[in-house]
Amino acid sequence: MTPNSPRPDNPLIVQSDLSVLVEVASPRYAEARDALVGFAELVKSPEHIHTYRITPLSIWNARAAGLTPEAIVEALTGYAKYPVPEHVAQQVLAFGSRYGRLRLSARDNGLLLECDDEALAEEIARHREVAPVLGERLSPCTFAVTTGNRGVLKQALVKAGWPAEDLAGYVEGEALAVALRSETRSGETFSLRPYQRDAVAAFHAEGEARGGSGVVVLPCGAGKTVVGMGCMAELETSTLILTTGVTATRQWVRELLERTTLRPEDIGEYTGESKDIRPVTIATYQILTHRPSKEASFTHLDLFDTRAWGLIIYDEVHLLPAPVFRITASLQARRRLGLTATLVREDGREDDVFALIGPKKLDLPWKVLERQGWIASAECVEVRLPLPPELRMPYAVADPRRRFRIAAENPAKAAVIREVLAQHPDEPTLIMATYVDQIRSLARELEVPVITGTTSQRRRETLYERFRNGEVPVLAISKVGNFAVDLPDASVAIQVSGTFGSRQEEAQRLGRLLRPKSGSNQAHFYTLVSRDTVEQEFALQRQRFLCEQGYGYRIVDGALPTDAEPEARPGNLRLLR
Amino acid sequence: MLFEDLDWSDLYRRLPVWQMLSPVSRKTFASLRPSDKVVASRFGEDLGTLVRHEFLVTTQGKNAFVHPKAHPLVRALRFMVRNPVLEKNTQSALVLYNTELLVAWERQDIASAAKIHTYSHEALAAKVSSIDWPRSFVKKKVLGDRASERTLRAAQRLTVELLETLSPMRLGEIPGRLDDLDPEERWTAVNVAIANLVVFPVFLDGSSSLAEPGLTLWPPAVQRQLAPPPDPPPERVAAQSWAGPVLVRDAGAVLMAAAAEPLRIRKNDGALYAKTAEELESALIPLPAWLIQAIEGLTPHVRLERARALLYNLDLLKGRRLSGGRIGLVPSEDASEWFALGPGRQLRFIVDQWRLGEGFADAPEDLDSEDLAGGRSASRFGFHEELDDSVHYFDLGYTGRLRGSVRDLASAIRSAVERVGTEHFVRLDDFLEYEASQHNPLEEPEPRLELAWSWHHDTPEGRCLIWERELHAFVLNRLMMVGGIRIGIDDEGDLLFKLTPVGRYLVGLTDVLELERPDEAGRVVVQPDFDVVFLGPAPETEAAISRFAERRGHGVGILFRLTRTAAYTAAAAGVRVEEVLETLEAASAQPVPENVKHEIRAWFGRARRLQVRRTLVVECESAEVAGRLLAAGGKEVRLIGETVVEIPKGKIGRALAKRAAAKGLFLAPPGGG
Repeated sequence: MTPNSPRPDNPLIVQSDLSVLVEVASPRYAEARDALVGFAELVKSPEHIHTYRITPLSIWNARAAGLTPEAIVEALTGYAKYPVPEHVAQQVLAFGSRYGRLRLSARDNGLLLECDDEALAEEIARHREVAPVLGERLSPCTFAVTTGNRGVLKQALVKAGWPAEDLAGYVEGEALAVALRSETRSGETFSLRPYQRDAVAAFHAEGEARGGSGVVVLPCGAGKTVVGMGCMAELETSTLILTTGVTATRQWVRELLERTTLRPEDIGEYTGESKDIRPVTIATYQILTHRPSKEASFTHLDLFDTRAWGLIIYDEVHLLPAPVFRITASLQARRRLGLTATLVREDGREDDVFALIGPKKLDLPWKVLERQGWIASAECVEVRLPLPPELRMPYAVADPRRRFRIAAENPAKAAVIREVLAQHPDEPTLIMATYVDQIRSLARELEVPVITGTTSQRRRETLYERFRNGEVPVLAISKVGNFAVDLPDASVAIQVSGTFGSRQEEAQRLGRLLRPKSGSNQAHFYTLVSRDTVEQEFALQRQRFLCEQGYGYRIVDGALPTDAEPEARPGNLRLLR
Repeated sequence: MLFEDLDWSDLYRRLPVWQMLSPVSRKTFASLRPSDKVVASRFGEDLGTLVRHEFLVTTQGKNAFVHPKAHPLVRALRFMVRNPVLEKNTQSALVLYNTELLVAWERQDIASAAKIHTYSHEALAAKVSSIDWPRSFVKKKVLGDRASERTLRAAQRLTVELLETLSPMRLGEIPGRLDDLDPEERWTAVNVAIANLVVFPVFLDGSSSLAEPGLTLWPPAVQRQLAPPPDPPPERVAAQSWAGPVLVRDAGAVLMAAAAEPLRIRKNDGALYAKTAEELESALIPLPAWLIQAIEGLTPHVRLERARALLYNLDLLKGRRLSGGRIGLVPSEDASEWFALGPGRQLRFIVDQWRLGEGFADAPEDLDSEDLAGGRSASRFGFHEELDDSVHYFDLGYTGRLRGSVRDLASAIRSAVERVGTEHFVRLDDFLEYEASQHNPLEEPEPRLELAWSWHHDTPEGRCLIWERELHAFVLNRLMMVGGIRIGIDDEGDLLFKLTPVGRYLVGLTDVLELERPDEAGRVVVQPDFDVVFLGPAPETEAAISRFAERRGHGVGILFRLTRTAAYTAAAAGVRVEEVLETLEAASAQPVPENVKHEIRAWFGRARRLQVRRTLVVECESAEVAGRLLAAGGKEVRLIGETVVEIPKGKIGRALAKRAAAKGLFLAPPGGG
């Protein structure tokens, strides 16, 4: 075999645009994937071919973890089916060579930025975004940097194409005795799952400076909260946990008490309802970004300075609001852990997450966990139903926004919901919609309880509890149900309408179903879409996202009754199989 | 140059001294003009000899000058040294020789003698480089005013000597060969032979020595006489090879593009605009780099023009006037039928247009015949010079170089390629040389074909050249372009080829078209997100999928995405959804995802071809008026709205106008009046 001969058993195809295709069916898939994750980002993982992308940032993160550019090229060459394009290898070496030429280290009263050579120092000193955050130039190749600018400087240097090797280390927070229980308070055996152990180990890195900051990406239901607790147990330090809402906060409290040695007095809630600061404090993004008026400052951001936090956990880090981004830039001396199921931000600031929180430490394809049984498998079905004749003309003449709403609120969907419910009797089912009027109307028609943004916290928790224990088998819920809601026994979800093409929402909604279930461990995710409308266009985008996670889905066509088959009242739908 | 100025006698006389000089001295002296001065020291020890024998004159200073008595010598030497035509032995060198050394009337004289009716340098070079040229020279009776009969006979004797031996003659031998002539006549005879381009003066020991001047016939003609007949081309081993119906695939790509949007073409020559061609390039199937380097005419531009011309000639593309007075090409009504045939049958359709079948029963008699099937001509809508349009055998079009019966021509070509066969590769050059030498229909015991326009090639060499060119063009421009040969390259970079079943079918060696189906199954993965990933190269599959998917790359990797737009375009071009699904299923290593199949069916199901027709619409001011018009119009009108009446014929007939007027309705045609 010559160096240029194809090697069919190898799993990688390295493309000229630095994307890498990985053939799952290859006998060398697993080892290739393990090598690849060290220096490439997982972009998508549909069933047979996964796509990774090599970026400057992914290479710099690999370098930070100790991987050399030569080793990266060797890995690509070793696992590739075809010769790696020459310019790809050159770019990897070029990107890699940039790391380490700038080093950030601690000194008395601040930080020191050292450059390899004067020319580089001059280049960054003149860079429009870097210059303002550099302090005094101490020598031709060194600059002083204030502690508060550590994060902003790193961000600016990444954008300038000159990443800094951060050797400044972390501030040790207050010590806190915390460990994971081997048996939960409710008496179940408990230990970290293998991938959770891997995530904790990747984050902690045995306490070395290369660890201690990063993002863990795991599917909903895979136990990200447990990973957070595992990291807390490794570090044994006071921890600030940021979540998406009060419900999520309470969920964290429950889990911490259930699975760790923390006592109730060790844990505080910092929300709109309570301002309790303890060694472990759980706050919401909303409270942190609250201010009396647009011109006023964010009064609660000083929470970050109230204690010597040793670890900050950002739950659902993909939702990190901009003000928290900014404050995080000044928290670079503290260990930071981001948790999310989908690092997809509709504002495209994923790179900022990596720059400010830390690099991705673990990103497991959903399907991998499904195959291993850690999350439920999901059957995804899209039901396409026609617009009733009386709505066709209003749809045709409406403006684009209104058109979407008309399609989304297609009255024919109610019949489909009934049919789906009939096909899954006694299975805990969520009905989710974007439009509050719609979900309320459906709830009335179906005679099921509904949760919206105006539902009080108490009422929500009551309904959640009743849903959990089976008293309420079907629950209608608006967008509030998208995030961080723990409903472990939902096995059917019916998505009646979505927020245009939001992939994030799609992932979160599917995530409501993925916690492992007893029995067949099978969930069902239905999406109802009006055929030949803009809703179908947006659904395709959301659908593509699911496919990229490895989920196949079925399309089922519905039809309105005809004269030949009148069956029922107009507006009812026959589902065609 | 006036050959009479060349005094070979002086060179002959000084030859013994000349040959004693060092090569450096000879080279230096031979580069001088009569008026030149030169640094004397350049001649080293030879200076004294040169001065004594009146080659040079020295002065008090360090320079030397050409001795006046040596001027004729210098002219003769410069003639030979400045025009080393025989160093390259090429036609272009001969052209240069002619243009630089002959004045216009001299060239015209020779051209007349050569019966070149339309003068060109190339034509002259072609004639004089043939062995027939000196042969015809020796048969001349007269040579016009510029040589006496005696001189002519002497020149002819010289030429005969050279023809008999086929070896060069040293200058020193000439007096002995023409000893019955006085010196002046002898050297004039040499000049006459040179001036008529029958013999060429040359240094027989090469330009590095310059010691042995002599005369020779045109060396390639001599070599051809001396060489043994070439053997049948031996088998060769290909390091790489490729086969594929490039032209058919390119035609498909052009048709697809035209279906999406009219292809704008230039009015003057019907060619695609450069911008249009650039946009289409990415749709062409990629060819191996070695193939593109080895063969001219495989550039994207040329491929697109060939495909366009083919489609136009097959009436699969037609012109349409666009806005702004521009012209665009759009698929014809037949195009969707052709497109729906699928790749294999599309190829057959095209090849069947060209092949003449067993026995060529349906061949027209004459290559010049205008009575061709469909009266089609490749040049009907403009043609580019870079396309070798001289070969349209099996295309029933303009032929160019040959005259005779189509049957004979087709038979000759068929026999030639049949001798190659399908089993083993042969070198293309070996094939051409062998066929042109041993099975040339322009020669043979009795020629079956004759030259049409290129009469200056009516020499043994020219006829070989023409037949080589015809076969070369047929193999590469016809057979290769439809996958009729598998073309290869060996380790030395020589082009090889062998026939394929498609080629056998095209030339009529069989009436059964077997398509070689490359084993490309399982190289493709269709993803649920509509990406189509190629795990390995699969050119046929790539070409097939390119008809209904948007291209993202070439070779391997994510090559396509299945999109609604691409599906609509394919449907408009006539691709059927069943074919799409079959193609994907056959190529895929994994089952095609259900959602993908569902969407493809939905997309194709929505595509509709709508027939637009011109009509006249009459907007009446009220239903009552519309009713009156209906009554007047009868079957010629119909009501399409409460107050709108259509005249489907699209024009207002006199009878209708009269009947309407009788009801008080006066129909004004569109545009007033």
